[in-house]
Amino acid sequence: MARTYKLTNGALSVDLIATGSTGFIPSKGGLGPNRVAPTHNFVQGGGISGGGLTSVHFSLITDTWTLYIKGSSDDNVATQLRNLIELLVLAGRYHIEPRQNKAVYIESQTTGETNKRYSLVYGFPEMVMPDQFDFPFEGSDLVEHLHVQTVREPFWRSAVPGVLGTALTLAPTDGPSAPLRAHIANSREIENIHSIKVDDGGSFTTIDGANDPLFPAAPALSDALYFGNAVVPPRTIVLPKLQTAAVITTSSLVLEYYKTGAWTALVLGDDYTVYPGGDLEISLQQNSEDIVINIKPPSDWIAVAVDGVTDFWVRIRENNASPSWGTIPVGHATDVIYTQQVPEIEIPATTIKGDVSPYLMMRLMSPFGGDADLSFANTSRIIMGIKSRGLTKFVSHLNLGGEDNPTDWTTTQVTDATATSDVQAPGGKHSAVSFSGDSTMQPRVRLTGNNILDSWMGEYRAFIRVQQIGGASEDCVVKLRTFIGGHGDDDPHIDSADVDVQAFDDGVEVLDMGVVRIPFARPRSTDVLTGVDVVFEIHMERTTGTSTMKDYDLILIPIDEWVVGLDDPLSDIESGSSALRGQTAIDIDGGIIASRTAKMQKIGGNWILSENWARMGPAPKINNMETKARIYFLLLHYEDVDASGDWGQPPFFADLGAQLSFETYGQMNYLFLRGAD
Amino acid sequence: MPIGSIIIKNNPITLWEQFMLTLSPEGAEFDQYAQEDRDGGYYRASFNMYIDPIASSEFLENGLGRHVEIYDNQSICVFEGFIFEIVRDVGSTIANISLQNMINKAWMRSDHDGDQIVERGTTLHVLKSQAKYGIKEGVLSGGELEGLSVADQSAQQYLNWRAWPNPESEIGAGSGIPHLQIYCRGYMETLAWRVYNQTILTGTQGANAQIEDILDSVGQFVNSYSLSSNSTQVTKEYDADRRADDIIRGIASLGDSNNRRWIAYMLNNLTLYYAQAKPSIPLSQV
Repeated sequence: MARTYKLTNGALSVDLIATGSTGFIPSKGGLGPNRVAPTHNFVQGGGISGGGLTSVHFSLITDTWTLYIKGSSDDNVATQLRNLIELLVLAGRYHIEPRQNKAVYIESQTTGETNKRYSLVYGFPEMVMPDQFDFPFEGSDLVEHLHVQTVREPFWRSAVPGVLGTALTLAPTDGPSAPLRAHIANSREIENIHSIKVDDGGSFTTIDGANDPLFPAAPALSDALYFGNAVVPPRTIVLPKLQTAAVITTSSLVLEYYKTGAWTALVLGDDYTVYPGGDLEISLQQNSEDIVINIKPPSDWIAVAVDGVTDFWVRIRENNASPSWGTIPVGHATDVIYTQQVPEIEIPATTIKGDVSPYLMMRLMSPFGGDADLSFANTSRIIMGIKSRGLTKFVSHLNLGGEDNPTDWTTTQVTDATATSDVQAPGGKHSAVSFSGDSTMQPRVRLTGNNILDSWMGEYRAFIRVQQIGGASEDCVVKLRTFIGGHGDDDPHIDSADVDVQAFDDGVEVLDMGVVRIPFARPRSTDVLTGVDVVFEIHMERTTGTSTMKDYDLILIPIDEWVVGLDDPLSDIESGSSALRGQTAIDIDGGIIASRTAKMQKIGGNWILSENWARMGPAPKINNMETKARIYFLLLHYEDVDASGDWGQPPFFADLGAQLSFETYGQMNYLFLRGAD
Repeated sequence: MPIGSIIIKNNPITLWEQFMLTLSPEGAEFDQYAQEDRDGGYYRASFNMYIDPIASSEFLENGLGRHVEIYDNQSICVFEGFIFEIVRDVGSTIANISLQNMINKAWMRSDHDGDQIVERGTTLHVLKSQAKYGIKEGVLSGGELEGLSVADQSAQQYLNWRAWPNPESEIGAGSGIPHLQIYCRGYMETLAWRVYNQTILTGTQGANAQIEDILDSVGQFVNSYSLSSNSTQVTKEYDADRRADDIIRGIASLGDSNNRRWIAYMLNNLTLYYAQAKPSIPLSQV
């Protein structure tokens, strides 16, 4: 490899190891040493230890270069110097002036180093030029010992600062292997697509989507593509990138579900959303992205027999009397159609490299369907947290109806609670609390994790999704009790604050139960955590009235490795224009382009910076190198709880059927050398 | 716990603008963070802010009253309040602007009819200032004046001078590093902006009910409240131009019939709490 040490902004460059007759060359050891000194914040204390460490962070570092300038003349030396100074001045202006948008960085690679590395430059606090009337410059146009102090970021990156590059490879959660883009559901279930059929005038063909035509060769009125699930209606149907995109001249595709006696159309934006296109036709006529159909299940959805298979079916039906299709869409060559069942993505161990946490930029893309009407089709808050330990058994969502929970978990319906079938609940059941026997604060649902403590060790933000039926605001109050070991009154437990249920008959409300620490004190490596249960109890009270409760799930978002909340700025409370909906995305960038959290709009195939969203917490980071990590999500939206049509009225809701697509970009960070990483 | 982000946005109550800015420690956009809580609620917070000169100028002009939320590294909100004072240091000179002396609603208390009884003059408003910052009331004392019009004109000229925050500058006092010093206060502060008078209802009622009446009347920056029940009887009648926060703190200081201390404080989502102070049992002396 050619050794490289170059200052550049991509347009201008100054090579500091020039091998020609003119140029810069460092003196012996003139590009070092490089000193990194992370700040350790200590507190002084008494006792045996004498104090403790509260935080560690890296600050900008100063390098000192000692350079020779080889010139063909004094004027040539002046020109070379000017180029160097220009870049160093631009380096500082990039960070101060909004219109200077080209980063200045050092590109470096040692003679035997496989890969290049890059470091963002901030400026030069000092430059010392030797006497210009002394030799050797006086006689031979050679500047000896030009001292330049430069300030740069403390890391070497794996890619050019300000350039996004290619998305990182993720691990599959429900879909095909090695995706660059994954899809996030808003609940956790275990049922995949059960059956897919193509209806050609009443003649059915069963497919799995891989390498299959998705419609008949000559679509006619009422021809359809059917998706069926046996236990719960499909929520988030993913058609992997089509092998062949459709070409449609005339069509009216409708999405329909079955209720008693009739197939009924679902309404885009009210009942379903679709990614990436504006509607079903647009989505089928592209093959650059997966197609994702997300359904907020109507309460009257029932199973019906189609071609001898009784499932909860949804179908895309041709509703035009004389459709004209030029090309029939064909499914991905090898990947089958599936449902996204989990609210998480996984980053494989091999993806995160380097010495310290990489710069990460995460992009969350919204499906189509949302508009100025408040609904699940618009996302206004995203909560996401990373966990890298206990992943074999940890799940972020535990269903209170008892369905689809891991086998380590037992769900017990306690006082006045019954597991009740509900197509709108995760796993197909919610816990229905009647308060008929006792309306005081009592345990209603108990989740017992058998020998689960070591996998669940950590700190979490707890949420419970519920719906109050009838009554008025704040009729019901909810509390979360966490036990370690047993669940008797005298077993160790911590209670959350009492949280009022704000809405009623408005959908799936999210209650923020605060922070839960498991166990209740910080454990160390020698503490025994195996063979111990963790128990969660949902306590509820009805203070007045006759309302009942539907309880959906307990959600625990990890907060001890990294967590953030992304919040809609509510720029226009009448139209909700700043919410996340069709052709928009949120970029949460920790420094690849810049430290920013921005809503992006897709215009002309490009992502265009739109407006700022609020970031509640730190920039993305992954602290454990070469360790598998999962990010868990909760997607929230507003509803029209007061019939005013105004956005921003609490509480938040999180319906099943909400969905975002996810990709992440990374620049790995190295303190000194990258090598072959 | 280190600070993960500082969010500054338009005030959610006055809603006179649209503004959103997230400050990150990674981008070195703030430092010198300090915070003080009082009675379990948000009281004061301050930090230095580093943004480009154009944004810094805009902030000096429009930043007062903006809503601030501060999150730690676990995305837990550790402070919520509003910007009360801004000091802009451009390196050589500092400029300072504050809500401290701003008044946009005022009246004069004086004997303006010679009957030896102090009356209130006309209540005067500067509506545009109220729309931007919320209502901040001033009560002037005029002694004996020759008529209502005299009382009103005196109050009006006072209001004219005070309705908008006035910047002050000090040449040569800069630190050399351009930055903004941001001083925030918790929303409990805004209850000191309002006077509570009520004479229509007479008699007494429970402490929490009286606080609820006060908040419903003058709690312009109280989005919601959670008031624990306290049957300690307090008067419904107030006619002395007392500040709302003074009345509420006074009620809280009465405690309850079990001799427990009660406190009133504000936390996230502009919510006011009135509750028994913790712990409920006295600590024993060691």
